[in-house]
Amino acid sequence: MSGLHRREVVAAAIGAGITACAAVRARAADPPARSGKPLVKAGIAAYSYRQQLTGSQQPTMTMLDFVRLAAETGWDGVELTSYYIPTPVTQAYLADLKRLCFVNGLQVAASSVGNVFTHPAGEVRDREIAKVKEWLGHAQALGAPVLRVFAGNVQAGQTPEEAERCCIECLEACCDRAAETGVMLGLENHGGIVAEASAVTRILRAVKSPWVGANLDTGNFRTDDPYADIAACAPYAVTTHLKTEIQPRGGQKQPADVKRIVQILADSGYRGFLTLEYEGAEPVAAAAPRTLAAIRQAVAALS
Amino acid sequence: MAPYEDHDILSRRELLRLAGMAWGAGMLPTVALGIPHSALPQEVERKMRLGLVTYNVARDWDLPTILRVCKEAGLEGVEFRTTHRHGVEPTLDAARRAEVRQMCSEAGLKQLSLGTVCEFHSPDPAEVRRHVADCAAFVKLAQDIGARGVKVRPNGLPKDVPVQKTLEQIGKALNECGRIGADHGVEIWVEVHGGGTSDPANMRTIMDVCGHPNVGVTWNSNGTDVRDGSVKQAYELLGRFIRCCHITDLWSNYPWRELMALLRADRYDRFMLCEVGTPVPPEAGTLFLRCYAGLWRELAR
Repeated sequence: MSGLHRREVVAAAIGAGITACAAVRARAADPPARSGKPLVKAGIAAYSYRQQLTGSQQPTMTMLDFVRLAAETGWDGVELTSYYIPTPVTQAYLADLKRLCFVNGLQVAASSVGNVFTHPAGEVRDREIAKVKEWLGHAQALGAPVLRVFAGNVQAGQTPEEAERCCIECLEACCDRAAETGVMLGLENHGGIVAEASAVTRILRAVKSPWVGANLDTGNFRTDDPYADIAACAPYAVTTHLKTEIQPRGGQKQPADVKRIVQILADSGYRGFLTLEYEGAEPVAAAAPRTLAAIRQAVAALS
Repeated sequence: MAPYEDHDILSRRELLRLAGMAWGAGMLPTVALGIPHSALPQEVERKMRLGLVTYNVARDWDLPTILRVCKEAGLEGVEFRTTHRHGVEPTLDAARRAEVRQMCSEAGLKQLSLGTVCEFHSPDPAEVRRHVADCAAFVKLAQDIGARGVKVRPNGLPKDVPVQKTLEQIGKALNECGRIGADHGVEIWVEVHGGGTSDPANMRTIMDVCGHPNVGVTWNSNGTDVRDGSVKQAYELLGRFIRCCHITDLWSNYPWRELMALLRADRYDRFMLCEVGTPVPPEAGTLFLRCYAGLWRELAR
């Protein structure tokens, strides 16, 4: 049986609804197959230092400073968020950043771009697709294996189904470029049309490419049962953001259970980064080392 | 060989259930049974386990594939559904039965069961007798391969027959099957299945008529279990009889976490068996079941 057929059938079985209908199976994509024991590496996203990298008036930190700080703190890797890379982006800057990560023993866990993939066909959509394709190239230059992308919200006059179809079409439009660059597209559960795990997996299964996976974000499911959504999405995760808080629908924010999250990832066979994307109230300087320790402890305790 | 250590011990939950049955259909509060927790074997502290029903994920897998995939994915039990490629059927000769038992033992499975289509709702008495005889053949097979239970089912309510009559008929047939099973050390598990018969209240009537401690229920995670988003009402009717649990699409809206919490509170230490309707090709089996098991562990925590 061809790899594609195998992927289609597994996805049909795994996907929400376990819909065995041929129409779904013919288009389905599968969670990535992974070899070896689960592996959870600790990373930090530049976004965690957004106040320092942007500043209310003037930045107090550059991306190069961020990389050095990540090395000093002891992280395994960094997510090089696009927002803080000076524009116009030059190959020389990306090369410098990549080199600095390398000599500090840091892996580039991911890069990330801000985009909206729910626009209907037309000029606006074309611009969004072009931006993502451009950043696939930049991610390649940085040595990032995956580029975080968003889905977006339902646009005016759209039904949720139409918005989802647009997102699928946009992802499909980027897949060839992803394959050329060797950089995966990581669709983040970031509210909007992907507020629940079932929507994320439905979109991923609809995109017929091995170059698309989930950028799982542990803090973005504001559902009745966020941990169940995390677990449902985990098999599709190709990179993961750790938030230090979690907020069930209608409930208060509560500290994220890092040990539980690491166990969920391990149970799904995950091998990749758990990257802190810090949004808490406490200064990141204090929260980051403590979160790193919590990740290390959780990984050490894996059964 | 005795690889299926569960087979030979009664868990605390089973003790409670059997005691409850004996003392008036399980109405006594557990504290009144006088079974000190500390006096029970360590095994009763074990948690729920995950296994696989070959229907339909493994419909086309041969026996070695089933055993390999379950081992790779960390599943510890298998229910062999009749008519599938694995060929675990009453037609097996003694040598092959011994071989199946040995293979399953070596694969480290902790529980086997047989998924039959023995059903007892037909208005034709001869048909019911034939199914009881079939069940007896499966019981013997179960004993020979070391299986713990034989799953049977009702499959609907015949038209033009009073519902109560059919329910009583099924219950009596199950009682007979229960006695046959008890003679061979094999439990009978009736699946909550079939139009009308899968209604939890009807299944409860069946179990009350049956009244045999060797007969339990296979919870089947049906839509008919759910009222106002909850399975509590159905569980209150059937929970005490559950010996096995079929679980389906864990990505669905069925209140899985509630069901597992109810079972955990009842100290259920038996198996939940993955019963997903989509066949999966053998080469994709490990990936599928690993993903399934990962979500199950979170929901069952």
